[in-house]
Amino acid sequence: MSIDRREFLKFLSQAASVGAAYMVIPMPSFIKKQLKTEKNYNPANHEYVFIIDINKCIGCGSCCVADKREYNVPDGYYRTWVERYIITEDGEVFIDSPNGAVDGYNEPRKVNKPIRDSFFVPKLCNMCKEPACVQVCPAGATFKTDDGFVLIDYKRCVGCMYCIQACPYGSRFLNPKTHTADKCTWCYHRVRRGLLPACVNACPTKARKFGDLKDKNSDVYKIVKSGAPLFMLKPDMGTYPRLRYKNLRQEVV
Amino acid sequence: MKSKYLIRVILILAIIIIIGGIAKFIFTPKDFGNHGSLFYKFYRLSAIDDELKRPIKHFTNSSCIKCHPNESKMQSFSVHKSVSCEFCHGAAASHIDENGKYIGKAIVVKKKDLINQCLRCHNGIIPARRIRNVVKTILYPDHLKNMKVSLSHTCDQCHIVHAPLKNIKHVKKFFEKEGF
Repeated sequence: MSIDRREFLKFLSQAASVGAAYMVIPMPSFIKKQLKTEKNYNPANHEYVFIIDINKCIGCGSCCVADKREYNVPDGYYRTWVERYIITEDGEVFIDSPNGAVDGYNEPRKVNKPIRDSFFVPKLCNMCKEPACVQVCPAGATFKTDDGFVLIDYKRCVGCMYCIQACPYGSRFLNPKTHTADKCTWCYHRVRRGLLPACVNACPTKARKFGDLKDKNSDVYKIVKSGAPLFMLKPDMGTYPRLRYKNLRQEVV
Repeated sequence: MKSKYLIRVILILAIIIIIGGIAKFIFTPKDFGNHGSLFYKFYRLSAIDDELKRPIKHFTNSSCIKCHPNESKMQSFSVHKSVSCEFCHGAAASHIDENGKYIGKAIVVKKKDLINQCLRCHNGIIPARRIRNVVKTILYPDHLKNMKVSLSHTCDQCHIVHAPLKNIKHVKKFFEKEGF
């Protein structure tokens, strides 16, 4: 086998730039792909966003059930959860989330005043462009990938809980089984295999949308292109979340 | 005499620093370092591989078609087409393995649990569902009374759960119009 010098150098530079982390991942062949992913994954070609339409959410909790099954999340901890907001005529706000909506909402909350508006707000990791949790990590155990996902290195995490305090959205928790920080990953292992996140796949009303902004046929691109007003949570925190909400009310915190 | 002690302290400090340095060199993973940004991308590169090793548990609706063609077909042409099979029947990874071979029973929801499962979405007692008509909502015992059936009926005695509006008399006309 003969390789000339130029080819060898080319190969070396490619191997260095792409690295071990961005290779093709095997997947059961009978599963249909839902997202467009090329064979040699290049993180620079993807910009994933998550858009939640609050008016479409019915609070069934199927996202929470799917999430719990996908990750075996221990009871009492939630990677994603659904909050119920009730706003009365005089502007008082009632918020609750019994068991993180894993059991769904079976009974109405008793509010003695007339209700002006009521809605559900699904919450999960915001995947900030400038994540506070990453900045405070002393062990280099949490990081942002080149395609924008904020992930946790479970082998390096020492469980100091700085990130849990730093997250303005409360989406992190200390996993009692592994004793490391844990949070929603937007199902990175599914997305890289070309599947939608488990919660998006489970949502019966398509209130949760996930997709690639650089893919012009994706649902999220059409929503962003349509000019529908999209909001983020706590914009004054300066974290620039990539999770956007459609029809978000002012009362949501 | 004083300088002798000082040298000792300096020596001990130097040894500690050297041992610490060697330990850091040995125990720090080779791919740990700056991968694009000192603030946000200072990490171990193979952590991404570790994350990707996580098995998928939800196989999506398309993986059910091969073994359950009737149910899949019925469901994909009904108002329940957006409902994930795995929401009611459990994650596919505990039912079939990676080659599509049967390994365990899928959950089949029955009786009381079935009513609860239906009411998770269709219970009209929750004001947020009533305000916006995203799904068809009903009030649980009232619906049975309105339809003049026994109160002990479960939902699947009238509605086929995979195609809930099929074989329902007052929606049949609508279905004929739409051509289902």
